[in-house]
Amino acid sequence: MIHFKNVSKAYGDHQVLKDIDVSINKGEITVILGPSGCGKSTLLKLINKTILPDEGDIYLNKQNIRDIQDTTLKRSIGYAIQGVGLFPHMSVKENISTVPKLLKWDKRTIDNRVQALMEMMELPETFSKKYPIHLSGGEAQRVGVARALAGNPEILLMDEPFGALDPITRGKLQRKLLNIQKKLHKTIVFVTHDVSEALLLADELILMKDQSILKKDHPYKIVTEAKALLKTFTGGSFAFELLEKFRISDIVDQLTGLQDFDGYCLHEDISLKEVVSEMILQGKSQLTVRNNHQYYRLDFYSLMDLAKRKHYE
Amino acid sequence: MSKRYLIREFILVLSLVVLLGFEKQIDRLMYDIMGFQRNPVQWTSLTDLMLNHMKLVLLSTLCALLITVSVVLLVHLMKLNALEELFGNLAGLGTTFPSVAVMALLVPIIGYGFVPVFLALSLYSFLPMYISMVSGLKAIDQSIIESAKGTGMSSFQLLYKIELPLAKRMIVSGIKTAVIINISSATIGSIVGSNTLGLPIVIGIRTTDMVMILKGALPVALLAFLAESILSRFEGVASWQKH
Ligand SMILES: Nc1ncnc2c1ncn2[C@@H]1O[C@H](COP(=O)(O)OP(=O)(O)OP(=O)(O)O)[C@@H](O)[C@H]1O
Ligand SMILES: [Mg+2]
Repeated sequence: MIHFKNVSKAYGDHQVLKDIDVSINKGEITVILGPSGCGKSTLLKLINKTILPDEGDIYLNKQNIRDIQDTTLKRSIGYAIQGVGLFPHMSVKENISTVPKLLKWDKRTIDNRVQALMEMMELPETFSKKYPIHLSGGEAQRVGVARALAGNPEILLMDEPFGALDPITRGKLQRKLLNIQKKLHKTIVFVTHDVSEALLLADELILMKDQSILKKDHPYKIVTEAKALLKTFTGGSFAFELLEKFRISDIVDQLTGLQDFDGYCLHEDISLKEVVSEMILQGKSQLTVRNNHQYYRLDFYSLMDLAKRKHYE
Repeated sequence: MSKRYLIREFILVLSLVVLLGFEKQIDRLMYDIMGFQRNPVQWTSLTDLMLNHMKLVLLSTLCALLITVSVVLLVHLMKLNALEELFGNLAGLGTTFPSVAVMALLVPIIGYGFVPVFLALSLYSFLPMYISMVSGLKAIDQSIIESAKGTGMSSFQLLYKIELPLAKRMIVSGIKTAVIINISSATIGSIVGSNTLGLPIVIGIRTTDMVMILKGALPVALLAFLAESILSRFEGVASWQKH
């Protein structure tokens, strides 16, 4: 879908990206993870020609983006820039409808679209007339994401879109993004420096450091095979974070149900990370869970295996 | 807010109307009753002078606005940074050069009357408008520009949807400065033979006729206040800027 070929970029003497060679798959969430200043935003900006590479080429569906007209390319790619960048003189509604207006959609369609997006981003309808100066940081970020989604682009570039949110709203919106993605299958390039967010959202994970890409793989593989590498990014709890990616409903098809059960069970569709937390609290290595009126036994020692099989599905 | 402007403008217009409409009566009051010394000089009515004054100010400001907008847009859209800087420096240099000197220099070339004053005023209103327009556009937060470009706006759409609305206050304040400078500079225009409100001032000074000086100076001041008030309406803090 998006293909970088030997791309380099420098600002003056300062080399920011060196010989980047990477492919981003269609219909997947590709997360770029890396420390501050490693060139994540720069990589993202190259995709919609916000900046041009010094060397190398970028292809979109096999077409060199140099050959695509600037405005056409940008209108077809949703871009939520780092730090929001809302237009201060436009209301929330006007901000969100920017791209649909550029695409000359009719007014009714735009109104419906704005309403649906505000609902999706959990922004109350009364916000539509508010100006950005009257929004909290998190609200503004959600408007930014809604604006990026508005033109129904096939590709979405999201630069730390949930950075200013509290953990609860953040978690909610991460789930929401995953749900939207299940239905819409957009090609999403998502930049973050939060390891749990990266592991949760990624179909593919790109690790970046010092101008280049260290590794690109499934999160499961990165957690199990690039432990040492991942440790340089953060502490050592990433296996635990990976389990946040899977819910009970995601993995029950790999288990055989119990005939009959009568006793304590977990009946909410929680993540495997929460299951582990429950096991630790209860001091048990096995717990019974209920899903769709069926009971299953979850064993601590099989959790990573379940994650693995889910990944190779 | 706008009511305050309205009251002020009403009072200013009323004073102007009284001053112009009752010119003869005021003359009689001052010279015949109060006994100020009159040095009879034949000249046009105050109303005509004021109309001519306003015509000069409006035409020169409009002409300068047209030129400024074209130059700024050309320089801005084509990203001619070197040219932008050159114009900025020229504008800065220009303001240090007295406008009366420009008018005087123009006389041998164009002759007396309307045209040299018109040209000098156009030049002098170009300067503040150019500087404020360019710095208004420059003052916009780069992240806003970047995200606007990211939505796929053409440079023209970027300009009228984002940049001009955001720079509007600065631009209006530049126009306001230009108009006020022109209202006062047009007075000097009467030295090179243009019939403006400066005429009674010049004559009044030559003949030491206090009333005559005031007959020119008062309407000029009122006119400047009026222009200030009207243009300030467009310069106010918009609702998107208010906390
Ligand atoms: N316009 C610019 N001019 C000069 N240097 C720049 C410019 N933009 C970015 N840089 C530099 O390039 C490097 C990479 O920047 P980039 O924004 O891609 O980092 P990042 O990985 O997104 O960091 P963060 O996580 O803090 O957002 C940084 O060292 C930055 O200082
Ligand atoms: Mg960044």
